[in-house]
Amino acid sequence: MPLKFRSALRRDCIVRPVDSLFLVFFRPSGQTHLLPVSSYALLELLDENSLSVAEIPEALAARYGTEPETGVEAAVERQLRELEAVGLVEAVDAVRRAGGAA
Amino acid sequence: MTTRLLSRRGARAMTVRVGPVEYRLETSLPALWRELSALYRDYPRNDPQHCPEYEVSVHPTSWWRRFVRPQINLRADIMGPFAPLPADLGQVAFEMGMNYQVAVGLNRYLILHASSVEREGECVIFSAESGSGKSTLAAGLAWGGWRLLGDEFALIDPRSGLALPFPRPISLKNRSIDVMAERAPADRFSRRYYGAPKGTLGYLLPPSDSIARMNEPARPRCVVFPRFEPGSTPGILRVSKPEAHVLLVGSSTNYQMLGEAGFLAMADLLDACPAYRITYPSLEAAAALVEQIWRHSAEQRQAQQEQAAQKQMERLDG
Repeated sequence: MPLKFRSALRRDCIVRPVDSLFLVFFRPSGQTHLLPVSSYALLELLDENSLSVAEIPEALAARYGTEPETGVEAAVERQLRELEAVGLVEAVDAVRRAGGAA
Repeated sequence: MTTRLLSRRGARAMTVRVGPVEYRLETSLPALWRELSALYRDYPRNDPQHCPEYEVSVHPTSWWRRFVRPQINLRADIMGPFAPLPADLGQVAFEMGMNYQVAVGLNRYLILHASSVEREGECVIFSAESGSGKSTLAAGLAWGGWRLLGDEFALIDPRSGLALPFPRPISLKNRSIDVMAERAPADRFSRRYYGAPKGTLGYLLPPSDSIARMNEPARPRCVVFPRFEPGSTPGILRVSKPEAHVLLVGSSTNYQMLGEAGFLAMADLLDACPAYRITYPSLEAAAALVEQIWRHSAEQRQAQQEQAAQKQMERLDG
């Protein structure tokens, strides 16, 4: 079973667009993050559904009405791990182990 | 003026209000007391209706240090890494202590390490590191028709987004003292303090109007990151909002502490204020650049308002 990720954008974050970037205040850590559009798109997507790395390119393409890109899993995973490191994204397994709802 | 004896024998104290902050200042050194009284002569003092928020005191490190190589200790409600100083720098110690209380303890406002000046109910915020010339710039403008809100900290009220005046005596360093001596009346200056941590210091009492109107907040209109560079060509550059955010967060002493309130206050500030970087070789050049920015920011806001109104009309028509 591939690892799935989720975010809590609407629950835990306050967002302000600034020019072409997004300022995201993450309540649990009290930190502010300046995110590019691609990272913000991931947060939005994972706020709606828990998805695995393999499912993300297709879900993004469906969301934005584009063709799914191939060979981008490594880039997606890298970005997910960066977001996970600051708490903006969680692995669903980790949430289960901590007793949260997936 | 009312004074009272305190814990230290022979000590005298006063309460002084600067903008929204009330201090209790105490010293047992008569010469320092005279300097302190002169520097804060225009501020509301010893108002029985107010309760001081912060106490700052300056006393000799020991009895014999009054006479032999005189040395003083700074004590305050919020103690920082205050090392003993030569007694001659007592006023510098007071100012350091008063700054420290606000920088570390005042958390009902978003605090930016910035100077600011007001005109027409709106203000320019000058954010820069120490030594970039923000105090001299604010002092020059304050003696050139603007109202000084503060030379060290801009206090932004998170609820209203307004900048609250905090017009303490302006701290001038080294050559800036001479620059301002040509522009401000001699009786507004303190004496010079040689051998202070940042060189020679002098304090300039703000114009009386800036002190008298220190209950009047102002709406931020623009943010400027100034840089004094001798011999440079005067120049203005627009600063993007993300970069301005990073710079202003770096200049804030309590952004992290305020959490969500700080984030929202900062985001609102940058929504409302275009940001600029200026480089200037003289005070006159800086004043001209600030005038240019003042006009540009007003034009830009008007254009935004017209655009918003147009969109609203289109929505209604649709």
